[in-house]
Amino acid sequence: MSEERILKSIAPPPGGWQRLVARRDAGRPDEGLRLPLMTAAVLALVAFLLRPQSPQEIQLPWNSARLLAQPSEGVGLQRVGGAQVTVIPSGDPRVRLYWIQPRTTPQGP
Amino acid sequence: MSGARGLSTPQWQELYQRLEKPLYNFAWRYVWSTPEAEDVVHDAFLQIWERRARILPETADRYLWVAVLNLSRKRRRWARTKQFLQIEASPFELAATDSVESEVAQGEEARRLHVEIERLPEALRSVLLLAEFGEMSYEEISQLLSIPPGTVASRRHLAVKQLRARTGSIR
Repeated sequence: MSEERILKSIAPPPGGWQRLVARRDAGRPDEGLRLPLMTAAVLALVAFLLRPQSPQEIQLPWNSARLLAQPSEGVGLQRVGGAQVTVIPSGDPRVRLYWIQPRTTPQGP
Repeated sequence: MSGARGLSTPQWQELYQRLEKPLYNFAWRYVWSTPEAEDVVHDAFLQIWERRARILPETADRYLWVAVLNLSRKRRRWARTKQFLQIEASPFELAATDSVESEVAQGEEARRLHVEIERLPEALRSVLLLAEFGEMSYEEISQLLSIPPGTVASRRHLAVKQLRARTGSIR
């Protein structure tokens, strides 16, 4: 640099090299242990990913599973001629319930 | 310097002996604390040690300067965050208690210079300190900071002008 320096240089604290080497030797894992440690970490990850499904897992109810897994087939309709209709009380005024059953014909002995 | 890839332990030690003082001086003007500045320098040397197998000896200087610059900025940001959260005293107060070991931090002139360096924008401060302690040409500083050499020159000029105008004590 052609320009004159304007800031004074200060001396770093003595013993810096010894502290640096001590940090290097203390803070780093042994080179010989690096490969086994990495291998163990990879194996642990693989084991975690391949773990069997827990039996306590919440299962979908059969009906929900069917609704999710298969397309709707619609409601099967059956014409019932001369059926007997019984009105069943419903707790919801918007819902009407009927019990429909074929009228039984008396059978002769 | 050889062109071989990889940094040997003697080369690492030689780097430390050659660059400890300028890097320390640079970091000290960011963190204003002897242990913090030494930590920054040591962190940079430990980084280069970790990557020694992949580092070219001829680029190690540049790597260290970039590492110290980044680490200093990071520490400074963290210190300001702590100051904002009122966890710790401000860098000014830290430096005042740390001045025993530093001849620069003694006296009224040094204190004013310290305050004015603190007031410099980051863009001017980094250029000024690299020019002061990095023993680098404007071209080398421009490569380090990814800015044109002309910008380096103008920023350094502006930084010195501001310091002179505000302190009135710089030659």
